Amino acid sequence: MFSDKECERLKELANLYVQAKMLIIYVEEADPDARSNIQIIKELRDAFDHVMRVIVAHTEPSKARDSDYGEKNLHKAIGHLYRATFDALDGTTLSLREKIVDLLSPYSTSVILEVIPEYWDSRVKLEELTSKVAENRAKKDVGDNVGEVLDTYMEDVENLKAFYNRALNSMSAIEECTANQKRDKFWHWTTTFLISVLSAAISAGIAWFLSSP
Amino acid sequence: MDLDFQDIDEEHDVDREKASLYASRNRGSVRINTGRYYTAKEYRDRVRHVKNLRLPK
Repeated sequence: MFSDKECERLKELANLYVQAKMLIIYVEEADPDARSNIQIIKELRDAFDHVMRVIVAHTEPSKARDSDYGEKNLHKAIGHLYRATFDALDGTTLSLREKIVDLLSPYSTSVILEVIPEYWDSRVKLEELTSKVAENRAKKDVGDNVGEVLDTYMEDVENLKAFYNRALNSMSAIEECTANQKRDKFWHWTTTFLISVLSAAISAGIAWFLSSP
Repeated sequence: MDLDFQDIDEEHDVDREKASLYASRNRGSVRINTGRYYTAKEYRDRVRHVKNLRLPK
């Protein structure tokens, strides 16, 4: 029924859909309010529409169409699916950033760095990814290297997920470290205060002793 | 058949109030029926909000 080129495109579409679906489920779960992004649903609808055009072309062959009609529409369906995937990755980045900020903002950087030494690297990556949100999607046409761009983006988001989980699992250590730092600060302050009071008392004593007849 | 669906952007955004009117009659997505989605404008605002959140430094 389908030509070889169409079969190739359909296979590409199916492989991409497997990745996209996992991400779309994750992004809905990761959202703080469990909200869906209408843009993702819209891209899936458009991808479905192009697949249906191909099916209709095969079930109603009487209507005159270009010879590459099927391949072109499947290419467009792949483009919509890529955009749905990029939207899902953007949403995941936003949700992870929000969660990481909520988790770590009450603590000082020195404590975070003591418990999670790779914090700076992950922070830089998170800032980079956040500023890139919507950038890839804005490129409406599917370029030749879109697969590579997507793979890199997915890897970055996986690293962020791992960092979030690491931060979540380190919360007891972060709390303990914060308590230790507070205790150290208290003792440092108390010792400094006592030494100052003692020095003042000794100085006053010496002055009194020297000035007495 | 070769007509494209309408885009969803800020000029052609989802009307939350209108969508809620049909929620009781829809048999589709529970998320959409219960209003658990971002309209184009809400999503743009969310991007702006999250980009402005500061990580500890």
